[in-house]
Amino acid sequence: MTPDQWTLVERLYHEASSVPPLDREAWLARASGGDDLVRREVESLLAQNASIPNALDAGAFATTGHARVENLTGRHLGGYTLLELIGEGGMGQVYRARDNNLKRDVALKVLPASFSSDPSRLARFQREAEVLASLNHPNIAQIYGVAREAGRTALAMEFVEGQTLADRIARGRLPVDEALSIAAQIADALSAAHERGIVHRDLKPANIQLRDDSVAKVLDFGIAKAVHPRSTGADVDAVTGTILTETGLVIGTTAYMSPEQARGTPVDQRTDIWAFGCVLYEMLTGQRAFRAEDPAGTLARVLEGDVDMKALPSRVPPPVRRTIELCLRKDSRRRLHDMGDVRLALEGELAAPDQPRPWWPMLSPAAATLVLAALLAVAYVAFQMRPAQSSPVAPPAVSRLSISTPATAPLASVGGLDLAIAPDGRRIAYLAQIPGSERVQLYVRELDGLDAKPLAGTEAQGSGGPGNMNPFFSADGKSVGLFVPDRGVISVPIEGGPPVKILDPPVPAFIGASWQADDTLIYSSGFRLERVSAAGGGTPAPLMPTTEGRFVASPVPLPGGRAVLFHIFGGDTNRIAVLNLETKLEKTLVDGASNMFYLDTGHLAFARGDTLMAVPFNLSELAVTGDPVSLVQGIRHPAGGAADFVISGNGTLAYVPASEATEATYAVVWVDRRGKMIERAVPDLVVNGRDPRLSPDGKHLLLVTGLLADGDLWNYDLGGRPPLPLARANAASPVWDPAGRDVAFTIGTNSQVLTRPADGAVRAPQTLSVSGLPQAWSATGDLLVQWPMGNPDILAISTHGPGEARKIVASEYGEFHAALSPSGRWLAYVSNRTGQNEIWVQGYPSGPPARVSSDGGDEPLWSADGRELFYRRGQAMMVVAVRNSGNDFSFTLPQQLFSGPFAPSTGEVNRSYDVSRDGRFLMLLPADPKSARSTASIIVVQNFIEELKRRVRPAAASGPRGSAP
Amino acid sequence: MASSRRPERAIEVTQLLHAWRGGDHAAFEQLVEAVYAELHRIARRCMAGERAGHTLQPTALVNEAYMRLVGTQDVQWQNRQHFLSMAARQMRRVLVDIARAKRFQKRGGDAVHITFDHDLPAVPEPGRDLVALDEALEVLAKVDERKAQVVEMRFFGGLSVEESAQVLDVSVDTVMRDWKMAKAWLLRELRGPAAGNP
Repeated sequence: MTPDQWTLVERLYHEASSVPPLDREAWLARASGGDDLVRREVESLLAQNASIPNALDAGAFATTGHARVENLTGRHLGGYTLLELIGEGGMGQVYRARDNNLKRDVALKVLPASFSSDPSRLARFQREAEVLASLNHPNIAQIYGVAREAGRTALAMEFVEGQTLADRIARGRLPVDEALSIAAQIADALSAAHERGIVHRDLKPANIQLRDDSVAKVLDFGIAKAVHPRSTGADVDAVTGTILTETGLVIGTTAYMSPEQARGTPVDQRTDIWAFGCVLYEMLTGQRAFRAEDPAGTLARVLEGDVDMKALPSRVPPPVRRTIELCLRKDSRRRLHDMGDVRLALEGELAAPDQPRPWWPMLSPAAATLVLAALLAVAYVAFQMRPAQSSPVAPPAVSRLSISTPATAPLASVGGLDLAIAPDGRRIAYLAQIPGSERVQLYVRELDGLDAKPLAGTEAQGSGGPGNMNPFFSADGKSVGLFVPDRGVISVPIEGGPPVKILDPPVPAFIGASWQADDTLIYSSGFRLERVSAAGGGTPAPLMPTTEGRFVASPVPLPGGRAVLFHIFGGDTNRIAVLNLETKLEKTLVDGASNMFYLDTGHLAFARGDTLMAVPFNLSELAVTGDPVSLVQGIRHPAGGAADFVISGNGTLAYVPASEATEATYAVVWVDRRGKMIERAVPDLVVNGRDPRLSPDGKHLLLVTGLLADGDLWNYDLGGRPPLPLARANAASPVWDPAGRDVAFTIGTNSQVLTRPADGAVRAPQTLSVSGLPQAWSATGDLLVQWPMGNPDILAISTHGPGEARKIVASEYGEFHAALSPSGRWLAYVSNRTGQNEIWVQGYPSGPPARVSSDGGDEPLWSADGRELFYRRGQAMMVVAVRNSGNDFSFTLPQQLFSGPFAPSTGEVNRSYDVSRDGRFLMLLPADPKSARSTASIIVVQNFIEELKRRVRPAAASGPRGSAP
Repeated sequence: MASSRRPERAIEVTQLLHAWRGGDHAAFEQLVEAVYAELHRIARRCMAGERAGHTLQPTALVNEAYMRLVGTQDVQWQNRQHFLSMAARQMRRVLVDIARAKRFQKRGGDAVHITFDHDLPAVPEPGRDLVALDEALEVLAKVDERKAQVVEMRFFGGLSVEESAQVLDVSVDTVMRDWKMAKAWLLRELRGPAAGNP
């Protein structure tokens, strides 16, 4: 069929729809002009009845059909991206959400829609939230602020990983030690809140989150009141035992309600003390202090019944029993009044577990406080000095040393594990760049030596190939093996000698290996674990069948040769498993973890993200026997790669700290009009400092630092106080509002423009309806923004309210670096319309453009009086004098003010200087290159195992499981 | 945790998208590679271990790839649209590669059926697999490339008519007409000319 015929077919096919079906045949015979091919083609297409949705439409329909109406996952709300629904309750849904601004996860409580429609309620809620946000305590989940968007209101608060105390109690009552440690933390939290006049009102195990590192955090402080200020909670749902408000929302749970709450009378901090007693009781007994068949019965018990003290295990010390009794007195006047008293009562237990019972409550509260404070001091010392294990010999000292790699041979990151440690912990090997080349090579460093020596025969291209190089030591520590693309898996003797070829190329994938004492190598070939003789020439024997769709990695044979630990990843999988070599069965040990090591102390060390954690492990059961504890944070763990840490058999740790590669370090300096340095403006050296912006009053300086793709925004106090972080990661191009109160800047991969208070006040940042790099903020409230990337235009948006971005200067060329004159009437900017960057000025918001520079220019900036226009030309600072009256604008020829070794103009994205009101220039001066800190180093922690033993206790040793008679 | 990897990746992909829109062909190649790999991973994961005959919904996969690579549904709409138009081609490759691999697999027992959809009138048996659709699309592209592109975007990429129109720089009307005719053309090819409705 010719193109002409096809065109005709197309036309007739569409026209046919307006022809009645019965007439079509005749019409088509006519219209096709006797061309049979065309006629038959049109006929056969019409016969398909393509207007009825068919299978081909399914693709287009599939994404819209299944969305659940209520789940907001993936949506945005006031600067947060909702990631996952983690809870639902009467006060709305709780999501794990990403703070796009500060790049951290938060818990976002999205309030019910009905709530947001009541302005007075919203205003009250906002006030309450501000008070709550001021509550800052390590045992209280921090409230960050209120976010609002599109009729939805949400409360952003600290996201705490871990389980709730309710989950924990569901598995059985807690050992006394653990219960008291948690109780002490809750008491601290309540105490801090009560001091500020904040009452929780809904304390219960479900509102207490336990982190893996044993920190307890109290959630939802005062939120019941913030949401339902007038509610006293008298209306109880007869089915669920929750307290309902007029709108049917849950604000409390009968089992933990104080009698005064149950009666609906006003409450104060003693209500929390009651609930604290309930929680403590429940931790120790595994059962609720007040319970009955139904909520009404529970309430009756709260009001009338006595708590069953006999249910407490006999091991619970008398002062703790007494504390519970005093917290659970029905008459709030006779209850303990103050968390300070409660805390002392509890801590007294630490000092003297065998104290005879009723001596202290008989003292006056003040005397009791004094006595207990003294006891507490003793107890604290005793507690701190308690040996980790009952060993008569002092444990070896833990010592840290750092190994710097020379700037000419920086540590490499080829994707897999980039370092290895000898079994005796005396040597490490790491991959580093070969000076002056793109290639990498293995270096071996004796920990008692001074230098690292390159190991000949290990050179490879930096990319590392598909399986990465994954170095490993031989069992005797005398050789290092690794994968080298083109050469296969080899081992190289450190003291010299020919390398041994263990696996010939091609090796499709090599994801980690362990060299066993019997000189066999257990390694991953990607989809399965295999074993081969380390002497070379052997045939690999698979240890497991191949399972597609997942990768296995980093095998670690366990002592006894019965089982192998390994890492499984791929897709959403990322877990540590153990393979029983006898039964060939595998089982998951830790989810969300990688890079594991087994330690003879009965621990498993592993990486979770950039954190090194450890968990007690029972070798004979092949089972994890406790909760993981974080030990070291900030370990380099590149995306898709391995966490760069290794632990030797005797417990020496070596790791590469995560650090941002330093690119250029600057001092921030004041210079005069001739470029002569006056003084440093801030004491710090800043890494990749850019976009300095002085505040209107000249007292503060905004500065972006960090990697170019990943800037942090700081507010420096020029009076010398430490800088305030305003935004982390991916921030750029800040500008002050004319009053010096707010800052607009861009953030994130989608270049969102946000504003937030420059003093860092807790307030949800405001997202403006524009993308781009903010350039200037006019006195009339216009924000000028440069966008898109590539060939940018200059847009303006009003910060006073919603509205479309208006194009101010837009052409097929690039226009950027906008600067508004102090009068707001003139706009200077850079355009490349002449083929090079030149400075142009035009009226604002519109007017004919005039070129100001003659030989190139960037980064225009007006003087405070508007009489001068500065700009950069390479290293030089240029100036033109301007005069403007009314609609007239005239200017002199450019002159150079000074030229110096300052940070050069950085093209179209950032500005490299600022000018103060009194005409001084704020410049970025590269720091002496010699003073720059050397590149990423390796940190070695000798006898790390001692630290680990101290902090990670096997569950068996953490306390008896039952109660002694 | 797996989620800790995403931000860097999202930045990288977004930068590549920017660069590609700015005319950088190398960025496009890199993007294609990343997207193909991600789609392949997701598709394999969906198929591994799940019920036999599991239905893959291409648009859902492309959207998941987008979420995983770019990380949010709310970047500049141009980015999303460009991403989807490019991902559509990659999705087609992935699905056809998998279908082709399955076709050659000897053990018929664990073959995975990739169907177009469940509830909608299905394409008759002979044309039921994606390999045939792919081949038919190849032929259509020779006759009328734009129509083949429309199918790719709509069916494999999940782009709306409006989005397709923007990417192809034609009117919405044109896309609707192209879509309708391409469907008719493909159905005829897949069913065979004799199978048309009377």
